[in-house]
Amino acid sequence: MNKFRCVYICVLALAMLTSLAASSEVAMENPIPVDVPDQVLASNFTKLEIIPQYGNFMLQPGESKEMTVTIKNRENKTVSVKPNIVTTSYYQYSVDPEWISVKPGSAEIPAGGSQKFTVKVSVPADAALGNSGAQIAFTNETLPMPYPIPVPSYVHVFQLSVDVWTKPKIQIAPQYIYDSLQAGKEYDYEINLKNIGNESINIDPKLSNDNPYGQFPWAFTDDAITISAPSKVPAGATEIVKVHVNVPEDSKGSYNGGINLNIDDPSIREYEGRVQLSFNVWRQPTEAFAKNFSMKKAAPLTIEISSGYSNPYPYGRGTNKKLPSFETELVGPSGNANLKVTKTVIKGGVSMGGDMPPWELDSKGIYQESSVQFIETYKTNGSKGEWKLKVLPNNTERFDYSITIGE
Amino acid sequence: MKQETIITIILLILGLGIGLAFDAENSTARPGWVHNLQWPGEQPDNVAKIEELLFLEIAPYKTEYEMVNISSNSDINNIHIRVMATTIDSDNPDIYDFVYENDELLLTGYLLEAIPVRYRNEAITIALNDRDVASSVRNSGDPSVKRILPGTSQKFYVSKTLLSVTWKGISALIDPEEKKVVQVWKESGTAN
Repeated sequence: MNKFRCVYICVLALAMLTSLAASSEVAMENPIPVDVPDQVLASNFTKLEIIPQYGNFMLQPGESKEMTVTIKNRENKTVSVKPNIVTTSYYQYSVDPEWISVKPGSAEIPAGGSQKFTVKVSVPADAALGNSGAQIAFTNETLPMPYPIPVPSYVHVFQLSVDVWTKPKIQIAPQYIYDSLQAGKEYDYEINLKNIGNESINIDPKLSNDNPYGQFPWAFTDDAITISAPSKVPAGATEIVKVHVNVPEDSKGSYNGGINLNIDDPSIREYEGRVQLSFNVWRQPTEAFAKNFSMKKAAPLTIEISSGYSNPYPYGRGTNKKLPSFETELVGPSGNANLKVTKTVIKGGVSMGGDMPPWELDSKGIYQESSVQFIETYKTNGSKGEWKLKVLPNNTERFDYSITIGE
Repeated sequence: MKQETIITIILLILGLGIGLAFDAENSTARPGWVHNLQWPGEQPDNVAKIEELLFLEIAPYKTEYEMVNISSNSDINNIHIRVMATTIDSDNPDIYDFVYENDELLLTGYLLEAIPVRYRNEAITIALNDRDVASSVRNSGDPSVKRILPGTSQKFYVSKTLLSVTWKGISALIDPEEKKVVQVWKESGTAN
């Protein structure tokens, strides 16, 4: 009986494991969408389909991850494949081929059949942080090149990128400050730095406006920006880097720069330790725009004021962004007219394509809101004589008006 | 037949049943990065097969999908499928359009804007560090940031996930891993 118990327990376990193993091939972690590789289905190359064609391995030092790559044989004959790891030149650092293993080491795929390969990337505990990439060529077929290239352009490849990272010990929010500023006003922004590590981290925030575009003078110089911050962020604490912008009265145009936080934490990459600043300086008028017009007889008056189009994306802005509004006044022969807003319209622009970057053409036919406009309508009774419309716009850099006399 | 043999066969069948049940569940089950799935309205007959194929085609960008909403529209020969997936760390969804025909799923279009704010801001930062872009987008407001899938990217750079940062009239194609602008497009049609 003991012997039988052993046997059926083993068989039972084997049956379950077999079924689960089959399911694990389907439940691939974070699959990457793929296209059918046109280049391998056409021409004289062996017709092999590689699914997926691309994989991204985000790993911390000491971690490993597996991914299943399926090769489908579209030929009418058996095809031999043998994975070969090829480092590419797209990356600053080449992945160490020893980090990558592919099993099985070779396969004979029958006509119309398929073969699953397990790609495993193991990052050593002492690996440096950074991005690297490689290709796994399943055959030695290459694309013909009219000139010599350092790495052959293999046809049947699975491309993989390896991003070696560690969890930053400091969290930065926000990493991008965009705002519209008024000349002559002052603005304050805060950058929160949260230390989630166990040790205190030194910081030394400095403006790093390299201004590589010297021929385009910014709206103001760096001395308009003052940064104040502690010298370190204690473990578990959140410290604030304060940014004060004193926009000169005579400034016009824009300012692009950055604050290098100089965080003493190797897990923070150079880019991650920088907060981008992007300011657009404009002038809020203090005097209203005036338009004179005359009426030959009494009639209803309709005034329509519309803002310029604004971008509907609500991200990354400072706290100063407000919706457009208008202070509208109408002065007639008898003094100020009783002008009331009778209608407010929020008007949007929705695109389904049009002139767009070629790499966004796959979004053609899908609704995309591209602009938003605010329109206010006022009505009053007009009488014969001279009239003056006054409009003081707020939070918009352009507006349109219309004056309708009569119904 | 001995009693032990009968017990063994029963348990073997039971074991296989449990194993296959796990497999059946997994073959159509959503991946771990999909928290909720909705398919309102009439579902096609082969819903399990379609879902299985869908989850091989869609994936979130450095986040997880909080809700995946699938809608379908049957034609004579095929089924048009729209997937709208939302995340908790982005206001905008990922939208995928597919056609299902002859047991195959074809991606016909996509608009993927469900990008966590951190990566979105990082892409804008990279774009603004390009001389051409920085000087062209003054007063242009906030850009859109869209994910470009490897199948599209290979026509413009290499077959990998890229991000497109677009203001009105100008767009920068970003390699988020290499932290660089790989192409710039302007409305006049010039790209470099």
